[in-house]
Amino acid sequence: MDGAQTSLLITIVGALAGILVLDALWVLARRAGLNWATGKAMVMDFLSIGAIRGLIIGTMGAGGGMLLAMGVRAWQGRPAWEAAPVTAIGAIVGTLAFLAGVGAFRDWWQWGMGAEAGDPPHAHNGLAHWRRYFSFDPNHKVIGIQYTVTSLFLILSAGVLALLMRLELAEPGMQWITADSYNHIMGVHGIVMIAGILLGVGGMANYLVPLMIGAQDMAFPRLNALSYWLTPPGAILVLLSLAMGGFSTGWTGYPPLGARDPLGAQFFYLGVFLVGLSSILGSVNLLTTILKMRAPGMSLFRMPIFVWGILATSLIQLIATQFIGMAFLMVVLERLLGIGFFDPTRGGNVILFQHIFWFYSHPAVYIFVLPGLGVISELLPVFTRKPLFGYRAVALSSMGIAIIGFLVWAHHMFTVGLSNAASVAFMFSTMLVAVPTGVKFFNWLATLWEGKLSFETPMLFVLGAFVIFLIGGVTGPFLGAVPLDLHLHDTYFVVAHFHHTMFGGFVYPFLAAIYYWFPKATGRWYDEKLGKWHFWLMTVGFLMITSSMFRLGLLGMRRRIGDYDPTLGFGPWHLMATVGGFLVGLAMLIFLVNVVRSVRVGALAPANPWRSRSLEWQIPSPPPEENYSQPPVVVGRPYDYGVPGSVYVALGPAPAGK
Amino acid sequence: MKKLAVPILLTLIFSVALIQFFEQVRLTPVLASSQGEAIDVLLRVVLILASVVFSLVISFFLYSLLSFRRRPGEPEEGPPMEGSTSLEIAWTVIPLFIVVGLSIYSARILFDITAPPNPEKELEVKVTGFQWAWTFEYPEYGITSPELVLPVNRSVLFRLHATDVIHSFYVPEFRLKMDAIPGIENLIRIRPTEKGTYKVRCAEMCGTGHAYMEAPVRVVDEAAFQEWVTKQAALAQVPAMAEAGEAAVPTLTAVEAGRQYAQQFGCLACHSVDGTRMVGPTWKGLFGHQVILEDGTTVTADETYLRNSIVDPAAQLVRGYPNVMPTTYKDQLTQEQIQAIIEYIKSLR
Repeated sequence: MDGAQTSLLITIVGALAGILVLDALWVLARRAGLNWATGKAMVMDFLSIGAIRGLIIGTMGAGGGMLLAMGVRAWQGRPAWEAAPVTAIGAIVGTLAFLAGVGAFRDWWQWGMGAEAGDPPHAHNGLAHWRRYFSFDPNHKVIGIQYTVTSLFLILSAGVLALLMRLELAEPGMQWITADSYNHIMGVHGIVMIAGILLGVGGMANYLVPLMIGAQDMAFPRLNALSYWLTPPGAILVLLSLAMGGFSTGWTGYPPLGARDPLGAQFFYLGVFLVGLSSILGSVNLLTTILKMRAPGMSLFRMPIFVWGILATSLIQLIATQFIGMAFLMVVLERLLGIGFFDPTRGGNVILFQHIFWFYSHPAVYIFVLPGLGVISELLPVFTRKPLFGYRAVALSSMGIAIIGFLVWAHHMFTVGLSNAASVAFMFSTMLVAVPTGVKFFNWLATLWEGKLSFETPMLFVLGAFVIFLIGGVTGPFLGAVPLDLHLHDTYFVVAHFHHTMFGGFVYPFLAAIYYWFPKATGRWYDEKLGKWHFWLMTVGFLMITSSMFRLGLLGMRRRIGDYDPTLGFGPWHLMATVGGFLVGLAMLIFLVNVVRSVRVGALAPANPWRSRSLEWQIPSPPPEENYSQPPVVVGRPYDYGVPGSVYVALGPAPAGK
Repeated sequence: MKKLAVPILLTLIFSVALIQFFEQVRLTPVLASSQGEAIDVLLRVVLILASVVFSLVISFFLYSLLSFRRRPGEPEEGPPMEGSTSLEIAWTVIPLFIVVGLSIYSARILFDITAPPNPEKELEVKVTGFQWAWTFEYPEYGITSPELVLPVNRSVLFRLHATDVIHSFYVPEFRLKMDAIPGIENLIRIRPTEKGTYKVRCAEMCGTGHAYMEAPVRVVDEAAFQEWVTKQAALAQVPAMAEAGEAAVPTLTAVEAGRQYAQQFGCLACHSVDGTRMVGPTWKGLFGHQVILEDGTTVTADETYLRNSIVDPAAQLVRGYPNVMPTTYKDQLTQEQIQAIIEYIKSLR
């Protein structure tokens, strides 16, 4: 029953995604000038697409890996079939086969064999060559779009799961799904959102950083493409977990529950591991690119502020991500081999997992929000026509947040029985985060002060992010103050606070970024009217959700439950949150319509519609394949709006043909 | 300077309005412990601080949006203000003092509410959480109960344990929670101050029945507590008396004992006795009726079936219910206890 529902769910989400993809393919095919006569050739072409090849070879690899594991087991004289180890080997071999099928190892293989692999294919440009987006392509702009679209797909899927939860919670009692299904949906909502956010960060960073610093591409283009192509197998494994009995721990995966969960938990742990690996490789690439490939004259303090955000985020990703990988791998080993890392009956320690896990997972929230805060700082000067107030302070505050972020992990663990001394130490470090975050807010306020503000859709989302992140910020000390956290921990107050930081720190800035750079990436305008509807519906809906959640949390409503005591009178507040949730869903639908329509029929946009000083707007839209025909030279500061005669960048001759 | 007057005035108005609003609204559940009193005071302090900071930022924000919009006919670009070192220092140092002050204040409250009472002797209760129920053991009195009964105005030291996965002991009215973790003993100290009935609600995700992992809490006066203790101590003798063939006190029938066991061992966390659908099948009207199993066969719920289902729950799974019942009852329960539970189920017509 549970399995049937989850597979139904997967089918619905899959069908929706399929329709979208098919629609996009159809339009792109038409624009590429294809007709029925060339249709047959197109089908053959289609089979040569990397993603299709990867899926076919990956599936074969998974089957082969499982057969291999069963063969070894039979040879050892054990029963050939045991689900956990056999599927684990299948998943690992399948992932490698997928990557090989996509073509991720081709050039490296050729180099290894002593041949010249040649330059990556750089023949095409623009959206017309849609196949590039489904193939292993080392161009950072293609990879940026791949990340962004995948991210939107994951975020929307996880959003549908959130709506299912809200539907169940609208009144007390279990109406639509079972308690187990609720738990599984809750966990998948969390982890898929996190993967979606990581990919969204990857999308913005990949598309924008090389353009913004005047580089032709990322430092390691093939590694960059490999980082992206690691994420589809990761996402597939996490989604498959729903069909394999699910995992009931929520995204945190705490053992012993996670060690006792059905097979689905193993898929969840392995899937997250792959996404984490992708994240580490991506950060290496971004760090190298930012530190070594800036245009002549672009000192660190002349970088666009968004690049500072990505620099800080990449540092955290590189240092911290291995910890969640290790924690999850240890649980998998406990499940598969019976090594009792976290099992007290076998000499393990339950709490150890939480320390390792949060050593990544707290800094992870700064991975999510620092790029978003960078977008806010990047866009404010453009829409206020003023310099970014206190550029250096804003830049360094990102680094400050990144560093302090490593010292606060145990504030997620105030109720596990830490000593008072440890709790107090972590409370101090936690409260310190407020200082660099406050620096950002005050500088943003000073940037708004006496500006010439205009309120196009990107600016609306920036201002929305400001307010929503501010509420996320001022509700933080409630949870940081240990005694108060003993009441609020694991209640809806935490859920509301966390969603405020994620919406204000990532979702709103991400949407602002998509609207703002839409003309850059596509050469077309989005629909301003739909954009404004999107903003207002989403903001009203979101505040309905969180205001009722703050209220419920203070009253003691526990998180992660599909049913609640009807005698507590929580029903109306939950209903309000559910209505708000569906408003957000409606808003995102409007967004989707806007994007899909505008890519095809949006009005043509000028090269620099926002009158930005930043590098990426000084070249045609969409940008040429090689970004800059000659390295641009940076001669001034990036945000000197309103400074007479100030120049930021001197470009070489315009690229040929434009 | 004139421009600053309006947002500063707005800050004052918003702050007062927000603080007044939070004073008027009942934000938290009934307050029932002395630790909770300190925590509620801290809540008010943080609320006031947060209200002022929020009002300050939002006032300047709203004022800017309203008065600095781009108007037609104005110069295109704004004034080139690059920054101000003194402002940066001010808005770094002032928040630093606020958060350090708040941390020191919170730390003092934490040490206060966790300090042992002196010289009063504490009541000790050993709490055990397991999927998906709680039991409460009073070592002093040799009592184990599915219900947490506490004397008012006496400090209680809870020793928290878990047998399977992590649970969290949380009574919202007491304002405190602490995890019950396998392999670790956690301590938490609570002094109930308000008579009444509340509930322990598990606050750490623990699987299928997590939402329903609740246990009743009664805070009563000292006399009522002593009376309850006496009665429970007598009840604890029932199995022994039954074994010895003695006629028990009239109220303590096998059915009554079965009801006690069903609560104590957590059966009722998943099986209702009034026909409500919960995680497991209801016990109401179960005995003697046909049950459809997962494989489509039917079986009559007789004593053999009930006994088998308790010691080996997965063998005859009822259609439509998840296979989540712990398989540990065959070790936890004696034959007499199982028989008593069956008698109790038989009584639920």
